Amino acid sequence: MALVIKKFFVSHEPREDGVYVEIQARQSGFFSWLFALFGLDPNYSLSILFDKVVYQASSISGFNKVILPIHSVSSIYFGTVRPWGKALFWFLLFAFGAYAAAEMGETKWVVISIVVGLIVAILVYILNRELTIGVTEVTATTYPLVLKRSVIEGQEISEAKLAEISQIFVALLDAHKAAQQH
Amino acid sequence: MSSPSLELGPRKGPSLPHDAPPLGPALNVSAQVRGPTLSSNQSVGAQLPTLSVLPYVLAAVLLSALLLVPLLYLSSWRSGEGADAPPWYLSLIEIARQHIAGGHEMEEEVQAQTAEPQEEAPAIDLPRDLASQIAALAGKSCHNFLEDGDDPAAKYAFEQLIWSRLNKEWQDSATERLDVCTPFKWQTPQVLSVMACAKGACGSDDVKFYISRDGKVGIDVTANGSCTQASEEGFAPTELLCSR
Repeated sequence: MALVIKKFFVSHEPREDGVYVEIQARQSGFFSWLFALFGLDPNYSLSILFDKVVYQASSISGFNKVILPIHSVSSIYFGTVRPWGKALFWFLLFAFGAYAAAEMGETKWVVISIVVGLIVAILVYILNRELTIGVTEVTATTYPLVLKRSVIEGQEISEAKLAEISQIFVALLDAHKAAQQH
Repeated sequence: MSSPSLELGPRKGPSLPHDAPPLGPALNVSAQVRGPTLSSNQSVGAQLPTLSVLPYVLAAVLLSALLLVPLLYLSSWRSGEGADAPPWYLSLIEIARQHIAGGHEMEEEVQAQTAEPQEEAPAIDLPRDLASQIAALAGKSCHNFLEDGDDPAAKYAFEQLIWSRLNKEWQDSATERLDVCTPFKWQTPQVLSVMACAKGACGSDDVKFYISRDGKVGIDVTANGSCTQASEEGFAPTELLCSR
């Protein structure tokens, strides 16, 4: 299930607590948002520090926290998925309505159905995209966060921001490599 | 020869110094390692693939427009304005109908073989007066009003008002062209007309029936681009004949 972002911090300069990257997210949906107001929401976080990566997943049944030394992380990955199938479903739904209108000879409703269907499909395709970012441990265990746009909080991150996180991670590895060589 | 003596009892190991375990350093668990300010290499991970959705949106708009065209034709066809539909569309609809009708005929045959004999259907109340008969034709197409059509009122009206008044020569000429047709529509406020086309070639190989509100019939037939016409005495709007 896709998560919505509660907190997003990315900086080339570490924060006071040594964090370069911090993403906090909660499960999407109205009820999750409502629970979040009382601090009862299941939430997920991914933090990148100078020497470790911290992943935490908590839910109503408990939590799981993983602290990975930075040298135990084999890769960092990110990407985006656009829901073309969902968009097509909505368009076909309206197209079926347009066909029904055509069978009844309602030309006006044929045009309205197709145009509305097109707009809905485009909005679903653009606004419902999901972004994934995660790290892979050397044991091939992955720690992903699948993020989507939040309608309520309105927080959104772009692919460029995820690319910036990957750059920071690579720069961290370079900094460690340089420290070992000296 | 003597065998070696075996020591079967347990061997006692050296005593281990357990009172002084090696001590590790005291840990400061709250210590935070604050890394340096990073200067990232912009070329690594910065190059993203094309993220623009514009080509996909344009493709969706184009496909929607393509879908809209036949639906608009279907809509105008259903609303009785199908005379504006191009011949290829009329042919397409007629072929689809024939397929559907063929399927239904097969189903009906199977049902007829298996079904129990049923009571005869009650007689349909057919329109008797002229205005009702003309009204029964409006919006109806070949598959409704021809002999094997599905609309008894339209069939009856077509037979009574038009077909029975044509002589054998005109009937034969028209029959050849009852391939696909547009629905009956009011060409003028006074005249209802329908056009049927041989193999969809409307305009070069077709027949057009006219009936005025006072029940007078006209017909024209186009063959190889030339039009011939006939009308009953009293059919006033003769200028409509062969006017396309």
